[in-house]
Amino acid sequence: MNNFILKIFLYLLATLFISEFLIRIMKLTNEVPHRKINPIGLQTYISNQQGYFNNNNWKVNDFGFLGLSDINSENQLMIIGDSFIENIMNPIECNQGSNIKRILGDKYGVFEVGRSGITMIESLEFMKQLSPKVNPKLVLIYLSENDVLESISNIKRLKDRLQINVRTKKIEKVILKYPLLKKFLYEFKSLYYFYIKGGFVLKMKHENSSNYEETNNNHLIKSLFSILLENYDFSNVLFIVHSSNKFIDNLLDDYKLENIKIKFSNSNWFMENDSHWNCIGHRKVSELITETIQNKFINYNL
Amino acid sequence: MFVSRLMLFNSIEFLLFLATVFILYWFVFNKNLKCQNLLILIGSYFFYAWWDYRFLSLIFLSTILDYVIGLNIPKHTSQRKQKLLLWCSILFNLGVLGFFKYYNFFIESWIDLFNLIGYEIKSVWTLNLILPIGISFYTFQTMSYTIDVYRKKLKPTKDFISFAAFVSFFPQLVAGPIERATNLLPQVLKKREFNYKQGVQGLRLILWGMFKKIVIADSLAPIVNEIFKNHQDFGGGTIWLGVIYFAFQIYCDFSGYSDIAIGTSKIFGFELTSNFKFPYFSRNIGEFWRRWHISLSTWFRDYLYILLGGSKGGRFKSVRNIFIIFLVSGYWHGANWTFIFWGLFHSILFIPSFFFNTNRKYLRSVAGENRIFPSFRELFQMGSTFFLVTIGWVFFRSSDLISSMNILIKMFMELKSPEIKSTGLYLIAFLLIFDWIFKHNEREVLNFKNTLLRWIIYIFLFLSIAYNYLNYSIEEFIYFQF
Repeated sequence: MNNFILKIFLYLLATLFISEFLIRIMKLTNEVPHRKINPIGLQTYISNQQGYFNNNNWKVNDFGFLGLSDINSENQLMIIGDSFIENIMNPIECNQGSNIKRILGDKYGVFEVGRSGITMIESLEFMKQLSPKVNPKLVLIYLSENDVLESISNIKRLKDRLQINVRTKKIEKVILKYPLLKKFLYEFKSLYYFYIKGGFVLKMKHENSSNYEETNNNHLIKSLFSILLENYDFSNVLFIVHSSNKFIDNLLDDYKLENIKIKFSNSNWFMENDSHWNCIGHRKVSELITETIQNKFINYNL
Repeated sequence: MFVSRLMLFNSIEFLLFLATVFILYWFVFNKNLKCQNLLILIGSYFFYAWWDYRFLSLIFLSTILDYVIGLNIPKHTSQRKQKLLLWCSILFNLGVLGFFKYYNFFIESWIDLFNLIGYEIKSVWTLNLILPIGISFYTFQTMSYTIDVYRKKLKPTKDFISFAAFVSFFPQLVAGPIERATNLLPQVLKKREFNYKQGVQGLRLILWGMFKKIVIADSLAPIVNEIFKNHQDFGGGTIWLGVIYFAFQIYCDFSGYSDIAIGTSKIFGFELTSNFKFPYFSRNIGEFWRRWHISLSTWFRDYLYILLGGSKGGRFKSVRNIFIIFLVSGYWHGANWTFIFWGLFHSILFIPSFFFNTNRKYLRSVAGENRIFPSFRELFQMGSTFFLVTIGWVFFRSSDLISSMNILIKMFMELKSPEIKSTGLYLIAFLLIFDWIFKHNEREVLNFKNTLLRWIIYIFLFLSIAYNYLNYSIEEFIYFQF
């Protein structure tokens, strides 16, 4: 029996070793940058990492983000958002920042703060913390319904997201979720491949994937917006709203927060097997908003 | 959907289940046979309950009834009473099988018949029945026990746990091989020791079975489904390709399952009967049926054909019996006229070889015996047998008889070159090469003499399985529906 078990073990080890080799050679898994919590308590990527995703190379800049990092330009823009802005799944040339810069011209500088899982409160914190270094004339915050809902710990506490308790008005501390396990999985590509392909998923009962109930959260969202208005400067902020929640849309208008609501009608804008925009989607969205950006620069003499 | 919760052999659930039972079986309960058998019973019931616990009651009822009848048959000296008990067992098992599997088919066939002659009847009698998985297999298995006890081939066991473990033995519970009590029950009752060679052989069979199922059968399945579903849109060449693909899909699917079942049993110290012996290397239809779904064809031979008189009552009776056997065999596969036609088609293929006494020609030899390549004659024989069997698969796979006829017409009347990629043929070629290498012994697959080559192939197969499992949809085993 011992010999039998030993042989199975050796066989699995050899298979694992070869699969690791093949997966690396054939680049079958995407590489994901490691995260850290920066001194001011926000989650960024560890600087100067490099890797590939969907056969596109990515590099983390000195600020801990993947996108463009122009600062102190005369016409400086700061773009903040979640995985859509991070855009790891597409080449950097398809980023919102790159598209806007291409349309508006080189006299505009773009600084991108994109990180998957960013919340609305976290976007504003980034704006607050980075503005002195970047000096943006205009800040574009890309917002989806989840970014708003996930900002509120009273709805659901997410320990790896920056949230606010709207009752106590206190920001909740962020911790990295399973950092060692993630590091292990990212390094051990065969296991990571197995994981991302759903190999560990048991075919149990199907659970309802919806995290939030639409009702009963509206008063919490309203409280969140009141707190935000008290604590952040929205004078040069333009929200780009890219998922529909009528209550949030109305709230932005009611509080006179400048915004552009993007309606999605074309499936060509999205990647296959992924809900993110592809390069066409990014281009189309940037085309929809650049006119407003340009007008703001002209009209407000930014 | 109940079926989606089935613990498939090709799933992580089964892997975890198997590892747990294996550890308990050999490391915790290894000194106590009763505990080992109880573990098999509990494990098997758990395995079945994962699909639907309600139908465990059917297995349990069938087990209790056959256990009691088995014990009582030898107690009666009167042949009449023994026969009565036997009939109780047969009627119960066939009654359950008939109700769940064939009730709706009978009602609908009667309604169709009445409609045909002008009486319009609404189908208020049909029921919304779920077919209990594996019912065709375990009912035949328990019946073999009472029949063998009645025929005095086997002494009934008093050990209920062991008997129940025999009936519900999880590796072969839902799709066979249909075990005879004379083979499996004595193994359940006897103390088992772990045997290294048997264990390794078992793992090889599991690996090869998984490869056949996940890599070959599941890769061919979407193409086959598309072609049979939309056959009217394709030319003859594509349909030929689809039918050939199906021939290998069903072979890899079912023989893959059987290999995994036999391999799993081996690692627990059991030897099940072989279910497939490279059927596509058969040189005539008689040989094909000695190599395809062996546990079912021998069951029908031993418990029905011989009961009907076999080939002893003259030519006419023999031919009649052959027809009955093939029709029943087709009908066993499902309540659809397509299966009955498939059986009829095979009986028509078989009768000539019966008349010319060639049906028992290749009892022990295999094609290409002691040679690397087959002779031209053998090649022609294998090719023509495969051709005929493949025609039969059209009936088996089609949703109804009209579709089968349309497909056959296209295959022979609208010959065009295939309009789809024929990459599946590479997989088939790979399979045939491996099958040819090990054609002498289906239990020795992957047993290459060179250790390095053997390990390279093990790893290659494992990685192919993992890649296909993770990247493509996993299909259920075809024989789960029978």
